[in-house]
Amino acid sequence: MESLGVHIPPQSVAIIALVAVLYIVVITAFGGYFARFNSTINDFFYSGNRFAWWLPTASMVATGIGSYSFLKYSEQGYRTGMSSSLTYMNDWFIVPFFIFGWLPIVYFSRVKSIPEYFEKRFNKLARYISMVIILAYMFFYIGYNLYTIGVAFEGMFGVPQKYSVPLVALFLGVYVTFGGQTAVIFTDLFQGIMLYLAGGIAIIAGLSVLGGLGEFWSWLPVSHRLPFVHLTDNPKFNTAGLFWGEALAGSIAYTFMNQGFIMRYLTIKSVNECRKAAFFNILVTLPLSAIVVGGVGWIAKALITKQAALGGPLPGIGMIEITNTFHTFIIVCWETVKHNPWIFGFVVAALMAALMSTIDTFINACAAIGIYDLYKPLVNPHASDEHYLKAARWASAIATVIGLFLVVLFHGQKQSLMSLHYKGIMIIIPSIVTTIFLGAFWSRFNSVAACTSMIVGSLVTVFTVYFPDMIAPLSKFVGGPVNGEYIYMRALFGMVLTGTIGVIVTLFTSPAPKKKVKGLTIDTLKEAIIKYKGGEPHFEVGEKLRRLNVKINNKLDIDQVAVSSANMDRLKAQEGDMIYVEDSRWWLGGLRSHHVKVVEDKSLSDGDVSMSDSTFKEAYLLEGRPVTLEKIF
Amino acid sequence: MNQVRHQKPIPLKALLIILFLLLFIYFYPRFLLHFFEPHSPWVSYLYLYGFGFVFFIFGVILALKTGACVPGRGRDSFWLKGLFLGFIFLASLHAFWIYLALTSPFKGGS
Repeated sequence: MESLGVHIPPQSVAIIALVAVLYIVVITAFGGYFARFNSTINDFFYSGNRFAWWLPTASMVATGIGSYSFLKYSEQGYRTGMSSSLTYMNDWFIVPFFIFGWLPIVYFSRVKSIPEYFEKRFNKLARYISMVIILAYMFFYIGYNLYTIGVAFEGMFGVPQKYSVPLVALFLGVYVTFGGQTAVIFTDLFQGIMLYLAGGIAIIAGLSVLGGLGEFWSWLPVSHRLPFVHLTDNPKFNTAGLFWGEALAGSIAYTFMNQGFIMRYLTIKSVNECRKAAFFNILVTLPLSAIVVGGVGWIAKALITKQAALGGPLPGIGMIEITNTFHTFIIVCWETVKHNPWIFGFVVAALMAALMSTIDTFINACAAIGIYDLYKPLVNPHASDEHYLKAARWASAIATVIGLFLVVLFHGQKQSLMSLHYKGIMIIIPSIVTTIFLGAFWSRFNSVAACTSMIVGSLVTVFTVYFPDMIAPLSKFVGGPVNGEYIYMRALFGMVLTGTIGVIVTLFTSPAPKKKVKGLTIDTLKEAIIKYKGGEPHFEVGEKLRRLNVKINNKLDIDQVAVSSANMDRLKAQEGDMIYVEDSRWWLGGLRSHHVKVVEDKSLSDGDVSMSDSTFKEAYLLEGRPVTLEKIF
Repeated sequence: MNQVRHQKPIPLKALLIILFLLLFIYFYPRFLLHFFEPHSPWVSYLYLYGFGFVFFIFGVILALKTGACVPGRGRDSFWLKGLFLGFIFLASLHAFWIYLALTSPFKGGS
């Protein structure tokens, strides 16, 4: 088959397909195992808010890398060089807003979905407008990922998309439907490792063909070594556009309104741990991911430059010719692994991992919105937890099927995958991103303004697709390109328009009562914390108590633990403070853990902690296993 | 909608900040292009980190002013320091990267 620019012999195709299918089966079984950790709806979607920071962070690696990422960023890396990493390394500017604003607001207000926040902060109408926009964003990603893997499969194995896409969706649907968020997190952790391994293999194979890192760097043209592109020259990839469209709008969308990511943060045991996750994600995993997904493109450029200078192929591999840059990853990888079908099969499995790990997050997130924003408030508000757990599984299955149907829409498109992706995202996100921002950081912003700005902002942003010249003055104002395409500048236009409407309408209407915004804006966070804890917070940081033995005491209330007086001092806790209890084995990442309230028991020894049988079971603790205690606040 | 009348006037300070920001957004890229050669990678670097810093510092000030971050409370000081160190780390990394790209020899000719 040569539609992806490589000729793979039939016997190699069989081996590659075998590795890929085996991978899918193993992942489905692995994900399905975690169904046992879902006894409530909160477990299914939020894993009981129990994990250590590193577990969801590691799993976010795989979520952030889609099946399109390897293909798209290798293409970009080949065309413009290391500047392809910019979209992964420009998120820091929004971090203060996130870690001190949006994250604690969402965490402490205990909202289950972004639309639910909109209802609490504004009104029902705002909730459903935001829900439509957020679902459009997430289904876009599901459909787009399924479509790209279909394209890759068709190209490599000749399997038509109408067979490959439903098959992949079926396996995915099974483990997300039964395993829920816990399955998503653990499979994504595994798949993140796979992605880094496979990307690493592809890069090391390329470097070894080139003769090492030094050779790679010296054969890479200066323009391709730079981490930035020209400010305005390239209509589709320029620094000015990337700053406004990607670093601001795109990053805010991915961090603030992406229900999948927000749900990951809500699985973490405390806001402090969430902040660790955000820092590690932006400072370590995103730059690493930029190398993993774009590295093959950079190597491709160095290989072709060296090949041209030497006048023929490099020793040990065939001549590399890239006529369609979208095929860069597949062509270079197949050549540099020297046509080894087992290694190449592993790399293809990584593409599968990238697809599955992105879509599973979105399916779970769509299902959460389906349950918390549609089914529970509108259809069946007073059902049992067991009923909602069943409904959540149905919602996951339905979300998978809808995503599958969306592939048909992408199928008819003639544009490149990259322009399809950014065009879609930059149209959907501006209005909602701006409304979230105004809602969280400006108490005066009211519901009339929120609804008006979301509707008008979205509609006018869609108009700019047909009348792009509307964006030209704004682009010129910020020193951006004036090129008629405005892929990224469209997002800035949408944000400025939505923001302007929001501000004007707010200033000419009455703000919501202070009672309504309490705990839902940055300046009322303390109220949110008091409500979350159920009392005045104590921020003094205590010691972690490790390896305590559990004594069962059924006189204690559910979700309550007792410790000795000395341990109360070491924890720097007062009676009623929120404590996190977990199995002492750190590598479980909090899989067996629970949030409880602490009380003092002077009769207890310093090596013990007591709790009721119900609390013990709710924390999934195991008999004979010591536990660790930590004060939250 | 259960809303009450709000009599607060539009704060002059907010209007001045918006005006200052608009002037900065307009003049900053033109200033860069005036002082640097348009194809210099430093133009893109300063554009990103210049505008980025304004946005970043606005977020920090907002967190401090609203009491979302109170230095000395819990681990707030740690995270505040981390924010600035993270910014410096990324800005230094990109600056060093550009320097290395421009100064290392290229084997493929001019």
